[in-house]
Amino acid sequence: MAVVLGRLLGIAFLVCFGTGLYSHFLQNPLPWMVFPTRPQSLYQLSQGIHITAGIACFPLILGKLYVVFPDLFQTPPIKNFGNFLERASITIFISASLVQITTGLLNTYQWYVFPFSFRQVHFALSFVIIGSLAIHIATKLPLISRYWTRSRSFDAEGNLLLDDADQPLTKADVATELAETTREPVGAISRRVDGLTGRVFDWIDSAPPRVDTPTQARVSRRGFVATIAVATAAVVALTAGQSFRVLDAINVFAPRKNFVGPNGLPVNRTARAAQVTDADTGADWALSVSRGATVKIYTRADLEAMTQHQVDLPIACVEGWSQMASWRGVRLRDLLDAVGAHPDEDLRLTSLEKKGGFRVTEMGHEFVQDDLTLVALELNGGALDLDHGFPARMIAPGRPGVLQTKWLSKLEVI
Amino acid sequence: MSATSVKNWRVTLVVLGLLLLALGAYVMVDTVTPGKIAGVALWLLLALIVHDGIIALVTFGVAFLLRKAGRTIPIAVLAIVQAGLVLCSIFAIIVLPAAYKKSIGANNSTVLPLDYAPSLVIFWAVVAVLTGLAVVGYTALARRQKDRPSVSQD
Repeated sequence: MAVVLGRLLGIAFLVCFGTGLYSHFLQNPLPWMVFPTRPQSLYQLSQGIHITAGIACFPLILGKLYVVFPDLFQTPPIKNFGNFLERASITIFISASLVQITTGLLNTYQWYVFPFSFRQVHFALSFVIIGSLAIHIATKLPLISRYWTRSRSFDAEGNLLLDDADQPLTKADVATELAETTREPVGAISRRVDGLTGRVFDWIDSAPPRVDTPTQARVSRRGFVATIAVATAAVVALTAGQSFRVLDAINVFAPRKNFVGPNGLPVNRTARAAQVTDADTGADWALSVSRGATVKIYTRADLEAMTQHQVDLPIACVEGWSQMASWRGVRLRDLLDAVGAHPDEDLRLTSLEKKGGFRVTEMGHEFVQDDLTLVALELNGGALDLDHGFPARMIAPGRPGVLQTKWLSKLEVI
Repeated sequence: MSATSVKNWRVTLVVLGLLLLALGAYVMVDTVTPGKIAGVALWLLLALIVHDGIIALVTFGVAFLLRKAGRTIPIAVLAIVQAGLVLCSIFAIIVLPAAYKKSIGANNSTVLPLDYAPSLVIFWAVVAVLTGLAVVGYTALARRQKDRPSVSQD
């Protein structure tokens, strides 16, 4: 059972790790990195899977901890160096995993009650988790290997095959071992009950052990695995609608709901939070586009007078929610052609927002040159709401929401 | 898997694990200020306390009650009740913080827009009813089968 749940949990963590790394490098690319722009909903998919798998980890990790829970109280606490390594790695793993999925969940609804920065710590802990998981798998490899396949775990009737070492000791075994140790015959083993603790433990032990038939053991084992499977399916079904349209109708517990918000779209960071005011975005607003000494200035009316394009692209947030939307505006490439940009040149984008880690960001040439990348002026048939980046915002395929810069003020070819 | 290949895999995994742990520690020290690393350490410690001190104890209590109850109640009924409890608990862990954050105010009206607390109560009620129906259904079925000696009842 531990192997079955551990395998699922391991897969969930690796999926989170892989999709998390993709998201990280999209936001912090290494100089040589180029990213795919198709399918256009790639990031919607990868980050939706990241968050959904993260939520699925809750029932999986709790189920796994429940199964191995008796090991927590093993005596002696540490048996040998291998056992020390195993317990140390599992302590790090449990602790880091619980912090990771808890702060990850809190981050999906922007509740920063923890005394550290989410992004950096989430990134660092991901290596700690996968590292301690690798060590844990190494220490448990003989067991994992032993019970990996169904045919080696169960007999023809579906009964669990236990090795001799896994069989519980009977009183006769204990008597035999004692006799071997003391070299004297040992009589019947009886219990001595002293004090309150002794009485409590005696009461606990007085429950006769269940004489589980193979069928009962199967019911118990399958029942537990089925419970965790149902719980995992239920948490996914009732929350994943924030990322996957097909489940929107039964999205009752996710932090976001499709179509709720101005322009029929949720908002991650409001203009107020970014300290962008009506004065910043009024009649005086203009977008500056430059390449070296060549600078062109566009008012919103100038942009509206240019050839307009309409595209359907998802806005996909790092916090997991996403929604397809209809955008209308000027193709970015048209603006950059006007200042003589080359196809292999990247772009620096500056927002009107007063502060924040994403006030100034960069966009690789693969996104800059894409036909679908727009400086959007309209969203879902209406002018951009101030909270969605009025007067103009960026929208490109396959990029995280934080890089779809709102309240654009400056575009510089670099 | 032969003993040699198991050993090779174990060595590879331990080395990989140690390298990743070192990388994690480096990233932490490199990008997070010492004061905030102390905050991380505090939360890691709290997670262990919650796990070893609360979750483990509650689990112990429930397991103990189930063991005591197991003398008289059929194992399938126990499995059904346990399933109901686990479902309700897992949703409580995931949804209650969201319901609380909504009650103290989210960052904007599109964050936590749903009715989390009422939905959770409804969910619990649905699980309770389904659990009850499953127990009644199983008991009736078991009783009917008991009347037919040809069917195994182990």
